[in-house]
Parts: sequence; structure tokens; C-alpha cells
Amino acid sequence: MRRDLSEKSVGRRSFLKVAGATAGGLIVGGVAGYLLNPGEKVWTTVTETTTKTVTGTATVSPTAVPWEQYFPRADRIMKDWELKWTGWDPTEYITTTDWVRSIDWGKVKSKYAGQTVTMACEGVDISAPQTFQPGFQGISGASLQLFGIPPETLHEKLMAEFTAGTGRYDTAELFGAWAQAYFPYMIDIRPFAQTYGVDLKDIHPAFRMMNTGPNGELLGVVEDADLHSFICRKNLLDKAGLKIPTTWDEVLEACEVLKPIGAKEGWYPWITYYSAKGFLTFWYWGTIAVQFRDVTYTRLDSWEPNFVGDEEGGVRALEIHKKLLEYSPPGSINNTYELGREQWLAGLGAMATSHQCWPRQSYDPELSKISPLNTDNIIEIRPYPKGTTNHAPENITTTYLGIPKTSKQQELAFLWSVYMNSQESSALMGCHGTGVESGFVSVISNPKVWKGQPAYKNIWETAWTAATETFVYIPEAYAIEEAAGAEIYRYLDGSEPSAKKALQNAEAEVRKILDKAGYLKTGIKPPPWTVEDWCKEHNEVNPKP
Amino acid sequence: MSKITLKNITHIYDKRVKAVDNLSMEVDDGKLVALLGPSGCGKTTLMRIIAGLIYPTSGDVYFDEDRFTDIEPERRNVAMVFQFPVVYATMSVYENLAFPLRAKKLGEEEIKRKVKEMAEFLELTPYLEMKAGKQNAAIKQMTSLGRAIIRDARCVLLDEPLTNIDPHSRLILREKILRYRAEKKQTIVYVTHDQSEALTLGDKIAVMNNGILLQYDTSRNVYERPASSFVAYFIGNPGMNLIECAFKKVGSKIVFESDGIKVSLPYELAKEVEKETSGKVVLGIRPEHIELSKRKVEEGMLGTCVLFEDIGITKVLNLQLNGTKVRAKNPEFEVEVGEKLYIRFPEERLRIFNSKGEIIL
Amino acid sequence: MRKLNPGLLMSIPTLLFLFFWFFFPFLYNIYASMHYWTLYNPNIQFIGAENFIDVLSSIDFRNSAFASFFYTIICFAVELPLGLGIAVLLSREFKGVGIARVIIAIPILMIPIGTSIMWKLLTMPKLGLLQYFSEVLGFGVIDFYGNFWLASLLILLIDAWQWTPFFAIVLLAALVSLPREPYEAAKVDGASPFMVFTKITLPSIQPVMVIVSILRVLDLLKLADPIFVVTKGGSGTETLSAYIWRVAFKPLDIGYGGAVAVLYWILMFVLANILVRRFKSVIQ
Repeated sequence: MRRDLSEKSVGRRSFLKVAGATAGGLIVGGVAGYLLNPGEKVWTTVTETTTKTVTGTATVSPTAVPWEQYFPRADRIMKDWELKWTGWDPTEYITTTDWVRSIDWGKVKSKYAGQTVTMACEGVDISAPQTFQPGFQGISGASLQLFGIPPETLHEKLMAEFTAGTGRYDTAELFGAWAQAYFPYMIDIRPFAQTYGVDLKDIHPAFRMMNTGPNGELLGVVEDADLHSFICRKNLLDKAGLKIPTTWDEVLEACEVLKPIGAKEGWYPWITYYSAKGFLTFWYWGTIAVQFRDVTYTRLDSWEPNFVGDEEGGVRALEIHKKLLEYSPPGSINNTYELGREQWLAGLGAMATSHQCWPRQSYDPELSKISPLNTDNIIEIRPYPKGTTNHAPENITTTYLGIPKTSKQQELAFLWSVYMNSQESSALMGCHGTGVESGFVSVISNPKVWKGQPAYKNIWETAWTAATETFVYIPEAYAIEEAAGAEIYRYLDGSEPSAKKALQNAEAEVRKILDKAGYLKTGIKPPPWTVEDWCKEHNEVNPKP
Repeated sequence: MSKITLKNITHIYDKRVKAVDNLSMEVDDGKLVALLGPSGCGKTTLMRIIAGLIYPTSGDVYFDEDRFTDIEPERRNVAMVFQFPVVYATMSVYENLAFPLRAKKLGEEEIKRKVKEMAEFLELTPYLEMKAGKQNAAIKQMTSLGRAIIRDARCVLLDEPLTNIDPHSRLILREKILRYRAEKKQTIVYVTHDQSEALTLGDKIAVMNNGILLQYDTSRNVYERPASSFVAYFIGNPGMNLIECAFKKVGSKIVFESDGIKVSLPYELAKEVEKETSGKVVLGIRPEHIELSKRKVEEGMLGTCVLFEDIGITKVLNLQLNGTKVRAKNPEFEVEVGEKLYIRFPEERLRIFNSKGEIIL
Repeated sequence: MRKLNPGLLMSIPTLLFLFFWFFFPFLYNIYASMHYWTLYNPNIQFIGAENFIDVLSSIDFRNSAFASFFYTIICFAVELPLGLGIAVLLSREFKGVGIARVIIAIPILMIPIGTSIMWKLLTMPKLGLLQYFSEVLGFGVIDFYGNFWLASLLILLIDAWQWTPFFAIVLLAALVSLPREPYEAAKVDGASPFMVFTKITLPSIQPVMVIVSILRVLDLLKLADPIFVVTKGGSGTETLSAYIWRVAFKPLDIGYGGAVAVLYWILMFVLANILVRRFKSVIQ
């Protein structure tokens, strides 16, 4: 999940420096310099064309453009310590299959040379797509234009462009939870995939379900796939004689034990991933609530929100949420993703829940104070703590690369989205600690990749039971999350003393939105909420380890 | 009401410009001293030093027997009226007059009574509720004067209060000052560059130039026995005729000679001039003291009228005696331009200054 | 035929501009506020005053209206006297006053969101410089983000840091252009410095003070940047602007958002009118 510029290759330390200096010129100059250099290095130091690792998936036509020349490889992306840490052979590709290999780039080049494709990127920092820009331009002969849009306004900006039908962007990054709002303006990419032999089924259903339409149409290629894990610093738990908690009760007990130790040593038992008023509150509570199966806000046959839960599991989750805030650094009630990440990487907490990016970035000595690589720190990644049920963590959303109907370069846009988000690329991005994570079965199930991104093991083992982060993926998702979150928040900040009442208020607000939007009258069935249900409905195989 | 004593006051602006130079003087309690001098002579600086607005480079200010040099202006209890009318523009005339009383923390009743009295005295009653900043210069200055004299200050400093207002209001204001003085017997220092104002108002006149107190005396003495050629020329309208002469002793007389001028004085009377080593002195005679005649008189010198100025009650003759120009005043007969006249300087009216401008006789 | 007034003719481009960029959107917003209207839902329904009823019965709206006025009052109450104090200090002549006058202007030149981020970096628990000093001095880690009063203090600090110089500079300009003479007269009249300040200085700069205050108050009612950065609108710190942004632009609900905007506009309009009317005589 990518929500800010600090997360990508700019890095936390330089972000702090930059923000502290508040020197606009330095930001631009420094970032640009940083971005340009590795890019050039990557695409000019290609020496050997190693065909030995290509395992027979590509049918190379006589006029083929050798994709290896333009394709990312570990030694062209990773830092030295990353290569050493993973023990990879730098000349080898880390995945065995790849979309890029199945495409006849020679044909593409003869068709699209000299043409232009545009992309709207989330964040003014467009370093991630920029990394792939020279390669794509080389392999396709087309030129690519990138437009960075601040994450805070991306949603409104895109909606405005789409509803106005400007056709300004041939492809755009779409935030998964709210992707349904874009649906009427996007094309189904399946026909293109068929034409080019791109196997979309390799995308894990967990990361495909939210941008799939009622008839199976696919809104876009997954670009960033995130799933929650529980992370902790084992050395701190060991010192306190604690074992790694597996249930929420154990988490709270551990917090109580760790609190006095942390107070002495300058850290806190817990880091709150995010909790700020609105959709973030809703999500954080939701990630806990889903561990209490009876909450079943999936019970959507009637579109009736049930946040309290049949056995008040939602109430219990909200109480846990509030308790966790007490064990977190002061002010965590309004934490955003960025602040939580700073706190975790700065070593302010013993335990947390998060996406894959936090544990991976913890390893980077440049980004993290708690890197196990040069201290005795041990970062453990585990499934989400359990509640009353043995359920998976929520599938905390994805980012897609969608193609608007107004695009004049739909096919080229598709090719770019495939090139940029191929298995190898996404594996490398995840292992490089950029926060952009792979959603491919072939990648997250690959033990070789686990060496570069340890969280993938946990993701692979839990993704098959995952559920959507959002209440229900309809265009009103954001409005619902925001309204429900604001109500739930009132319990956290104390303005509503009863957790149950806060959740009931949230239910009422959500019901109002659903009613206004007409869902309560239509009789349309709500989309399924868990991967299991979704696979059943779409006759898909739910990949299990 | 206090006596003001200034001791060796020197003030230098910006370490360069000497505005007041080692000046000492006393203003007796209840007296009005007119401080006279050309623009830039240091009058205003001196006033500001007395008021405390300027800290002198050296020297001390005393009120009665107490040293006030280091006392802040707000604690000196000195009243001052400035040349350009200064009012508190955002306040009403009433509030302006009440201001110094409020500063003294008087009761509201007393303030009201005093302001009313003062307004009546200065004929400001109709303006009391109006904004002071919107009044004309005369009303402003009247308000400013009222503000100065409404309280019992040690002394009142008036810095050319009449200069910037219209002639009619000037008369009224002057009258008010005189009446105030007569009633209150207040110590007043009155700065002016108008000598007639100074001569008529002042108990004593202080004449300043270039920061130096040239003469401090009664108006009569300043007029009749100017301490220096500068005072001599500065006082009077027009000022004293000053004629540079060579002198020599001839028998029992000393003869002063210049181009077209020849005057002799008895040796006993004028022997002081012999101390002058340069051989030259300056003869001074006021225009109004020059005797004119159409007929030849004894020791008379012959001059030609080159200009005749008739300014109402005063008539000024410009006479050419060879190379020397002399002004005379108010002839008892008609004179035409080009006419030749006999001129005599009466012995007792002659003043003699040495080459430094100091009076000898 | 009557001749066209050339003045009117010349104003037409401006009037057209005003119409299309201000008047029309304004009316359109009122129109939108009476509908159920989201950008992703093609069904636009007329619902009359329902949005307005919803807004007025919303706790968040009332809270944010309170927060807006609260921050306006506290920020103004701190910034005006402080700015005036700085202006008075800088209006005196002393060594380095020229440099001091330049330095004091720097915060105004900074991007508001950047200022807020700078202060957030200073106040991060365990990581920020201010928190470090707080711990060293024995106050422990201060909850600048989660506690309404402390968050408000931080918001006040941010706003005051950036905008006190605005008062200072405008008032400084007013002060140095005042004539010197009344001050000397007042000294001679025996007035204490306090009396000089209250009776002469303040009344003289009052018109400038009133204008700059009205501008600042209307600006403060729009306060949003530090709120986004410090609390994201949590802990009761959400202001009206932040509320509008949250309910209008993220859910793309231009009907509801439009209704809040209309109410907000009415509030601002009434307030601006009261202020301008009340101080009309002073300004003129």
C-alpha cells in the first residue's frame, strides 16, 4: 500500500531530513538526483543476457526484442546488502514465470513505436513507475508520460477527470477499497490479456476480488497488494519472558507486562498502525473485529450492517482498539499510516500490526533503527492475533492500474500496466522494501522471494482466508467507512462512553447511506466479503499453501 | 512654579553638530524669558533639554535647587507648547485638555471643572466634544496651549507657539498668554525668532546664535547695549548699522575712518579701542539714532539716498556714503531718491565692537 | 438610441469572470445542496432541505463550528497582542533592528502545510526536539496529538508562529508611520508609558488594527492545514473547513458537502457583515 512519498525509495531518513529542512529546492533536487542515478545505472549496466533462467514459457519470435535487456533484475535494483542478505545469484531472475516473457515485444514495437501513453500516479513522487519507464520505452518503442498526483487528492482528481471524460490519462492508479466508484469509467482488461497471453489468474483472488465486476470483468492489473500481519520485536518479548502472543487477550497481557519496561527504556508496548478519525478508525477497528467471526458484517444478504456483532464481538474489538491506544505512544488515537510507520521504524514499539512494508523496511539499516542486520534485534512476523475465532487478517486492500474508457491508447496502456506489474517486477519491488507488494500466487508462494520479503510467507499462508478491508465494495465504500469511522471514533476519544452505542450509531449512519443510495430497495445481492465466498461464487480455485 | 537654572549645557547631535555650547543661564521664578535667535541657533534644543526630551551631552538642569538632568520628562512637571501645533488627534479637545490631569490621576469632577474653566478662558468651549485632529491650526495650538497651562507646572516652555498660525489668531493667542502670565505669575520660557514679540513679552531676553548664549539681559539693555555685533544687528528692524573702520589717535580724539565715513570720539571715551591690535574696529549705530539734515551740519557726512522704503509707520532710508551703505530711519522730512543729505552719528549712540564682534564701547 | 455607459462596458469582462467563476458556482452549489448527488451515482434526486437537516443535526458539524470559533478566538487572542508587542519592540531603534524586522517576516513566507509538518516533527513523541526537552525537564512525553487541549495548544502554536508576524509587520508599518510629536507632548504632559500606549498609540493604529484583525479573523475561520497535520481532524479539533473537506471531497458527496458549504457561507457572511458594520466608522 502506498500512501505517501516517504514510503518509497526516498526513505525515512531522507524524508525526515528533507521535511526538517523544509527546503523545497533541496527536496526536488535531492529526490530527482536520487531517482535518476539508480535508474541510469540499472538500464546501462546490462552485460550478459542470461537465457538459462528462462524456463520455457516464452515463445520468442524471430523479430523479437530481447526482453532481458529491458527487464528488471535483482542486481539492477537491489542494494548490495540486500543481495548479500538474500544470498541470491545476482545474474538470475527470482521468479520462474513472467507475463513479460510471454509477450511478443517485437510486434508491440512495430505497432506502437513513437506513440505516447500517459499514466496518473498516486503521489507526487513518481519514482516507482519511473524505475520501469526506460525499460518500457526501450522494449516498446513508445514513450511514457507520468503524472504525479498528491495521494490526498488522487481520488477526487480522478473522479473529476473521469466524470468529465477528459481522456487525459490512459492508465491510472486506483485505490482498491474505493475502486468500485471508478467502475463505470473503466474497461475490462480481460480481452487484452487474452490477446497477449497474460495469465490474470496468477493474481491471488484475495487481491482480485475487489476490482472484479459482477460478470467477472477485471478493472485493472494489481499493482500493490497488501495484507495485515502481526509483527513484534522478539528480543524485547524474550527479555520480559514473554512468548509471542497469538490471541488478542495475550497481546493485551503482554502489553501490560511490557509497559513498565518500555517506560524505563524509552519505548511502548504497541504501535498503532493508524486510527485517525474516519475511514482509518473504521479499518483499524475492522482488522480486530474480523477476528471475532460473529461480527459478520458480511451478513449482507439484507445489506444490514451489523457492527456490534451477534455476540458483541465488535464491541469487544472496539474495546481492544481503545486499550491498544493506551499502550501506544501518546497521541496514537490520531495516528496516520505515516506517523505509525515512523514510530515503528524508530524503535518506539515492541508489537504492532501492519502491512508487509513495515517488517521489510525494519531490515533496512538506512530506514530503521531496529534493523536485525546490525543489532541483536529480531523482527517476527506472525498471523494476526486471534479473537474468538480462528480467522485470517483482513485483506487490507490493493492498488490497481486501471484503464479508463476514455483512453485513446488502451492496448498500449495495458501493455505498460503488464510490464510494470509483472511478477518479477513486483517481487523485486517488494523485496527491495519499497512498500509496493506483489499480489501474485507465483511470487508470494515462492520461498526464494520470502528471503527478500519475509512477510510473504505469512501472507501466502493466510491470504486464502482473507476478507475485504471495507464494509462492502460498492462505490459508496468511502462514504460508508468515513461515516462509520467518525461514529466509532467517538468511543475512542471518549465523547461516546459506550462502545456498543458508538457501533450502533455507526450502523445507523451506514444504513442511512445505503438507503439514500438505493441499495435497500433494489434487491441486488451484496458482493461476497471473504475470499472463500468469492471463489465459490466465481467458480475459482482458492489457492492454499 | 520654579526657578530654572542651566549650568554649562552642551549638546552635540550625532557627535558632530554642536547645537548648544556650554550655555548657562537662570530664569527667575515667575519671570518670562524670551529666547531669541535665528533658526538653527539651538533654541529648540535648549527647550527640549529643559523639558527632558533631550539628554544633554554635558551640563545640568536645575529647577529651584534640585538637579533634574536625569529625571524623565514625564516626571519633571514641565509644560511645553510646540511650534507645530501638537494635539492628540484621535481624542476630543476635551480629552486633550484633560490628558495631563488624567496623567496626574486627578478625580473626574476636578478634571471636568478645570477643563471647563480652561475652555472658557481659551474660548474653546464650542469645540470641546470635537475631534482635536480635525481642527484648524489655531484651535489646535490653542488646545495645545490649554493642555500646557491647565496644570500647575514648574514652568511653561513655549516654542514659537505663534509662528504657524494665522495673524488674527496669533493676536488672540498672544493675549491669552499674557493674561495667563499676569494671573498665574508662571515661569515661562518663550522661544521666538520674532524680536518684537520678544521685546514686548519678555522680562528678560536671551539671544542665542550657533548654540552660544550671546546676551541675557533686559530688553532695554539688549537693545541699547548689545553684547556683540551679532546681537546688535539681529535686534532692531532693521538692525544696527555696522561699519568697519580703521582708527587712529588724533590729539585728544580718536578718529574712525572708512570709505565715506569719518567719526571722531573723545580719547577718554574711546581709549579702550587701542587694545585692538588689528587697527580696525566696527562702529555700530542704530538706524533710528542717525541724525539727518538737508543742511550742512558740523561733523556731518554727506550721503546720497539710494532707496526709500515706506512701510507704514516706518520709513527706511538707504544711504550711500561713497563705498559705505548706511540705513537710517524715519526722517522728519520728505526725502527723494538721489537727494543728498548730511548725516551725523551722535556720540552717545555710537557702539564700538572689536574685530571679534565683542562690544568695546 | 441611448449610449452605453463606457464604465459598464469596460466592466463587462470582469463581470463575466465574476459570474462564471464566483456567482455561477455559488448558485450551482445551492442547487446541488438540495439534491442527493454523489459523483459516482448517476441518479440525482431532489431532496429539498434534507441535506440541511442532516447537517444541522450532525454532531460533527456542531463540533466543527465550535472548533472553528474556538481556534479563531484563541489564535486571535494570542496573535494580536503578541504581534502588537513585537511591533512595538521593533518600532524602536536599536542595533540590529533592521535584521530583526526581516527575520520576523520569514514565517509568513513559509508554506502553511510545511510549517505544520515542521511543528509535528518537533513534537513527535520520543522523536521530536520539544518532546526531548520536555522529558529532560521532567514533564514526560506530552500528548500533543491525542489530547484536545494539548493538540489545540500545538495548533495555536503553529498558527501563532506563522501568523503573529503578519500582525507584527502590518502594525509595525502603522507604528513607524505615526508622528513623533504627540509622544513628546505626552511625555511632557506627564503621561506614563502605559497611558501613552493606551491613549495615544492604540487609538492611532486602531484603523489598521481593525482591518488586519477582520482579515485575520475571516482567515482563521477557514483554518485547516494544522488540523490535517496534527490530528487529521480527531480529538475534537476538526474545524468547519476540515469538516467540509472530509464530507464533500472524499465521499464525493457534493449534495451534502454543498449544504455544509452553504451554511458555512451564511455564517461567514453574517459574521463578516457584523464585523465590517461594527467597525465601519473606525476604518473610515
